[in-house]
Amino acid sequence: MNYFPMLNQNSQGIFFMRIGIVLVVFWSFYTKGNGQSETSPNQNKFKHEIALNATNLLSNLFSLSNDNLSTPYTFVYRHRFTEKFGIHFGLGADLTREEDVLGGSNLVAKTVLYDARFGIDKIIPITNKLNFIVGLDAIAGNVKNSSSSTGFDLTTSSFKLGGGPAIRIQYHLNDRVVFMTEGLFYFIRTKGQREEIDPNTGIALFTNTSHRFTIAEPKALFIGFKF
Amino acid sequence: MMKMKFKVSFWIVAMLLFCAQRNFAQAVDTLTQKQQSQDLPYPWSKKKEVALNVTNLAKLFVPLNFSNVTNQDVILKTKWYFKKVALRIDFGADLDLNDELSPDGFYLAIGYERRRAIYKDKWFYTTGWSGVITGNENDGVIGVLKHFGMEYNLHPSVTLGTDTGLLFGVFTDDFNLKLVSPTSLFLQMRF
Repeated sequence: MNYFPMLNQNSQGIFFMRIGIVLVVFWSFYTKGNGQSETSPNQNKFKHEIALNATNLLSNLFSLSNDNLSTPYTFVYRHRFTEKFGIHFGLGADLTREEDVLGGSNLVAKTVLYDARFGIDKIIPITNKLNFIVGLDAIAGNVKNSSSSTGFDLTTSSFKLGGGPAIRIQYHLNDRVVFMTEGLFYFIRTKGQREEIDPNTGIALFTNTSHRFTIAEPKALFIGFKF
Repeated sequence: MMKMKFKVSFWIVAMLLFCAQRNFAQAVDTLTQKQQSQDLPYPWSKKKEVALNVTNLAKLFVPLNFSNVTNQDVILKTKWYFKKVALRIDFGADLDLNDELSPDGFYLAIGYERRRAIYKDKWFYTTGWSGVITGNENDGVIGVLKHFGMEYNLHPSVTLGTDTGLLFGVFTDDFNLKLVSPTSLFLQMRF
């Protein structure tokens, strides 16, 4: 039956799927509220946690906003040594290759990007479900863009290294599932390089180094699973 | 169609927020109980508070919100409460540290704050004074801020809040006065 004649079948399917997923989350909150798991004695028994950046997924479910905040770390692994101390490792990567044929000439553009970070965490429980995590991170990352077209090649690359304190908020949906967001206070040193190869003028190489201190507000929501 | 989708999305988000709040309220919080046993005038006395600016993150999850992501001056707030008054530091920075220091954004405010209840244990307002240094590559301000805040307790240790204020001081060259409108949402934790 077509409940919403203004929507086509495909849009209706996506719309109902969104409602369904949201209702499952709603049910999860509701059962928690009914006291089935007021305290979480098992919360600390899991030492490992894998978290994924779910910002875009949740944003698509709840909103039609096109804004795209980003953090480079898609995957996070966290290990808890004691109730109040742990370490984490984050990783993000993006590889793209595009090829266009314009007026008989071939334009090839490639992007290779990776980011990694390692940090230590001090975990401060605020409530039975909410943790405040103060940490110290070290980060490294590299991005390389290259494009070539009929003898003219342009390559830009940059390598960043840095680190600093981080503040995280972790909410336990249940014993195994957690939501997490983070504010970052990073000092970053970036070394950039630009190389141009022109069949007429030859090779030109430019380098520059920049230092930046930045405080980043929470930009991403991670969903983590403990085991 | 958009109106109908908005209505459905709005009610679903409202239900989620209601349940999350209810869930928080029902949680047995031993930390809070421990605190209440001490002889202090307020539940927040002798506590530390840290607040993060979650405005842009929250925007992503509001249905049909097409407003753009905005630059936020203050990213972090810290408060150290004594019995009734808190030392408060607000901070935000995006600094290019090359040949010459060129801030894309910098904000530092140090001052004091008091908190009072408005309605039951849920709504509070805060007020106080701070000295402010803020600037970007175009202009800067050194001045004094009389700030007012509104907070809603999701839980005895977790609040959502926003701030406004009256800033007067030297704006690049001239003495000036500015009403800072509330545009940021802060998630605050107390421990």
